[in-house]
Amino acid sequence: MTVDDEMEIMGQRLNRKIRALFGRSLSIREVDAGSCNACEVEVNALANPVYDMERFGIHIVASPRHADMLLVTGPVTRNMELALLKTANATPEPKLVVAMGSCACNGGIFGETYASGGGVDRFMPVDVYIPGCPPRPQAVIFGLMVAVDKLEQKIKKSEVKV
Amino acid sequence: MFDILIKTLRTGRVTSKYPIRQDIAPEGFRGKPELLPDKCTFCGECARVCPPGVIWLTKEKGEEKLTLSFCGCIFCGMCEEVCPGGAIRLSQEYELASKTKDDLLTIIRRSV
Amino acid sequence: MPEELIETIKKEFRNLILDGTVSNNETYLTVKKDAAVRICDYLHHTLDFPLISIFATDDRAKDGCFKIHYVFSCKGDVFIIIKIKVEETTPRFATLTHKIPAANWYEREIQDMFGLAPVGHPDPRRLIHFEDWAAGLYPLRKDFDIRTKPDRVKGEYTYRKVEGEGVYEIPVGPVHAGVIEPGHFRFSVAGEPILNLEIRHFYTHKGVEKLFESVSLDKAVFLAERISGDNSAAHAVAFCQAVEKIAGIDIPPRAKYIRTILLELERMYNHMGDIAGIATDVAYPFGAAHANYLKERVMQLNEKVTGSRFLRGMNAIGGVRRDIGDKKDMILKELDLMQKDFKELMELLFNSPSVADRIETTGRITGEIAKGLHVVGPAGRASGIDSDVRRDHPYAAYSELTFKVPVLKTGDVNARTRVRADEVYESMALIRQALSDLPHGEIRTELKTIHDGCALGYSEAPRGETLYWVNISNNRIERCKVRDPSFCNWLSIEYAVLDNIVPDFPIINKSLSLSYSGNDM
Repeated sequence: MTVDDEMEIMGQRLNRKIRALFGRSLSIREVDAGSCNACEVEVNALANPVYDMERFGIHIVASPRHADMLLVTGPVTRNMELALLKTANATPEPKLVVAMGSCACNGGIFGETYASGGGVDRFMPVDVYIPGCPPRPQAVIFGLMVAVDKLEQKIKKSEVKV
Repeated sequence: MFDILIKTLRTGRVTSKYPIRQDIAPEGFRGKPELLPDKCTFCGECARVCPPGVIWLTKEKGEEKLTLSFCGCIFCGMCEEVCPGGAIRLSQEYELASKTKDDLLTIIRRSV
Repeated sequence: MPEELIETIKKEFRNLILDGTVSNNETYLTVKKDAAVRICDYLHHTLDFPLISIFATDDRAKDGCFKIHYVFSCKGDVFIIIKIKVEETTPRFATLTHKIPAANWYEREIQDMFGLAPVGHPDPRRLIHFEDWAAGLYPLRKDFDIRTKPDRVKGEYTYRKVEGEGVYEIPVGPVHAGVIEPGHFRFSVAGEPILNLEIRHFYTHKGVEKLFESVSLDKAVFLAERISGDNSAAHAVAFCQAVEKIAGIDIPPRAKYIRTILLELERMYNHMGDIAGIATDVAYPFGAAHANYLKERVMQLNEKVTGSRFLRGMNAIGGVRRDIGDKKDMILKELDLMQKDFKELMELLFNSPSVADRIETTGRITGEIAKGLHVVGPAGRASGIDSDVRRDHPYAAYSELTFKVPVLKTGDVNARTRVRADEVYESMALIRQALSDLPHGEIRTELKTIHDGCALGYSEAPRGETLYWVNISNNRIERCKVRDPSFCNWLSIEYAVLDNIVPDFPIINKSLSLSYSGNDM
C-alpha cells in the first residue's frame, strides 16, 4: 500500500467517523486565551477555499453551548483565565479540549510569568495537543482527526458507566 | 454579475486534497526537530540557546540524557544553527498532534 | 538640521533644559520635571512633531530615580526624546493628556506598570491590571519578580455611564462569536445608532516587556516575533535594528534587501486578509473567498521562501538567517499571477454597489481626531495623515527603492480599504525592485560585543509604525519598550463608531485592523 492510499483511507475514516459520531458535523468553539493572533489566523485559514474544513462537517460555532470541542490557543493569561473557565463550563459534556499551538501546550516562549499561565493543562484537562508556532492548517486538521478519535473513546467510556 | 461568474469559472477548484491526500511541506519548512543520536556529542549547546527552554541535558546514574520536547517548541531552528556536529535538524514533518505530552518527547541517551 | 532644531528648542527653554545628548538620530534632552508639559506642548503644537511614545524606566539602582521619556518623531529623520526624573518619594508627574490626547494610554500604562501617577489625568482608571490585581504591585519595577503570582483581590471596574430614555447597553466579549482575539466592548445605543463605545482590553497581557528583561539578546528576537502574530517580521526587524544601532554594526546590504522583501510580503498578506475580512462583513462572500485565497497564496509563498507561513525565524541581530536569493524566480512568477488576480478582484469589489453602500461614509475618523490620537498606518493615511516610517525614517533598503505612499482624506472604511489595496501594488513593486537589485555577499554580521547604551528601532508594520526602545546594560536587556501600532489606533475606534449603527461595527473594526495581542502584550 502506498502512502497515498493510506492517506486516502485516513481521510475517508475521518469523514465516516464525524458522520457516525456527530450526525455529519463537529462543532468547535475557539477560545483565544492570550495567543499572539497567529493561531487565530490559521484557524481562520481553515475556513478559506483552500482548506475548507466545512467539507468534513467541521464548523466554528459562535457559542460554547453549541460546541463539542474547545480549541484553546495561547498560554492562558491571568486576565483570560476566568473567561476561559466560564467558557469551558458552558460547553456540554462530553467535550473535548484541544490545546493548539506551543503556547497552549506548555506556555511556549512566554512560559510562566506574573501574567501568563504556562499552558492550558494547568487549568483543565487537555485531550489533544497540537504543537506548532503556529501549526500550519494541515497540522490543525490532523490534530482534529486525533481529537475525533479521542472523543470516540470518551463516548464509549461514558456509555459503559451508564 | 457575469464578471463574477467568469472569475469564478476561471479560478476553478483550489481546495487542497488534504487529508485525503498527503501534503508534503515545502523544502526548508520548520517542522519537527529530529535528533541524530550517532552525531550528538552531548555538548548541551542546543539546550543553552533554546528560546522556550524545551531541550534539557541531564546526567544521572552514569548516563547522559538529551530530552527534546516539541510540545512548547517554537520551531525557530536555533538548535539546528548552533549544533556543532549537525546532530539536530528541523524536518518537514508537521503532523505532530498527540493525546499525551509524553508522545511529544524525543530522548537520546549515552552512558559515560 | 538636527543641530538647528536643538538650538531652537534650547533657545526657547534655556533654563529648563538640564542636559542634552545626541546618539545617532536620537537627541535626548533631560528637562526639569515641571517643564515637561510645556516643552512637549511646544514640540507637538508649535513645531508640529507627533508624540509617538511615552515610557518610563526604573533607574533607581543607577540614578536613584525613575525616568519618563517622551518620544517625538521629527522631520529629517530625527527623534527628540524629552526625559524627566521622578523620585520614588514623590511618584507623580503632570499629565500631558489635556494637551496631547495621544498621551492618554501611555500615562495610564506607566501608572499600572511603575506606580507613577499622572496628576490631573482625565481618566485615571487602571488600564492593564484588572480589578483583581492588588494595589501597590508594579511589574516593571526592578524589585518585582517576574515569577510572582499575586493573589486575586476583590475589586470593581466602573464603565462610563450613558443615561437617557431608551438608552441601553450591549456588552460584547471578551470571548467573541468569531475567531478573533479577546477584548471587551461596551456599546451604549439608542435603537440602532451607537451613542458611545467603551473598549476594555489587556485580556492578553502576558508580561512581555518584563520577559524581555530576563532573556538573552538572541532569544529576545523570537519573543519580539510573537508579540503580534501577523506582524512578526516588522516586530523582529524593529527590535534587531534597535540592538544593531546600539552595537554600532551595519548589516550587510543583502540582508537589508532580504528584510525589505520579508516586510513587504508581510504587508501583502495582511492587507489581503483585511480586505477579505471587510468583504466578509459587508456580505460579499465572493470577494471574501477570493481575497482569502490570495492571502493563502502569499502565506504559502512565505512558507516556501522562509519555512514559516508567518516569516518567523528569519531575522536575527546582524542580518537574516536564511538566504532567499535562489527563490527569486518563484517569487516573481507568483507575484505576476497574484497581481493579475488581485487587480481583477479589486475592480469587482470597488464596482459592486452593495459593497459601496456599506463602506462609503461608514466609520469616519476625521483628520483632526486622527492627528490628536496619533493614528498610524493605513488607518491614519486614510484620514489624511501623510506619514510612513519607510519614507520618513528610512531603514532596511527603503532609502534605495522607490515607492509611493497612498494618502486619502475621507477617513471612512472605503478610504481605508483603498489605501490597503494601493499599498498591495506598492508592495509588489517593491519586492520586484528589491529582487532585481539584490546585492551579493554575506547575509549576516556577527555580533561580537555590545556596549551599554540605548536606541530606538522602528519599522512600518502592515498596521503602521512599530517602535522599540531598547536599553542594554552588561549584555542584558535592561528595558525594552515596545509600541505596537494598535496601541495608538485602538482609541480611534471609539470615535469611528459614533453615529454608526451596531451592525456596521464589525466592518469598522476590521477596516482598522487592530491587534489585541500587540496592544496588550
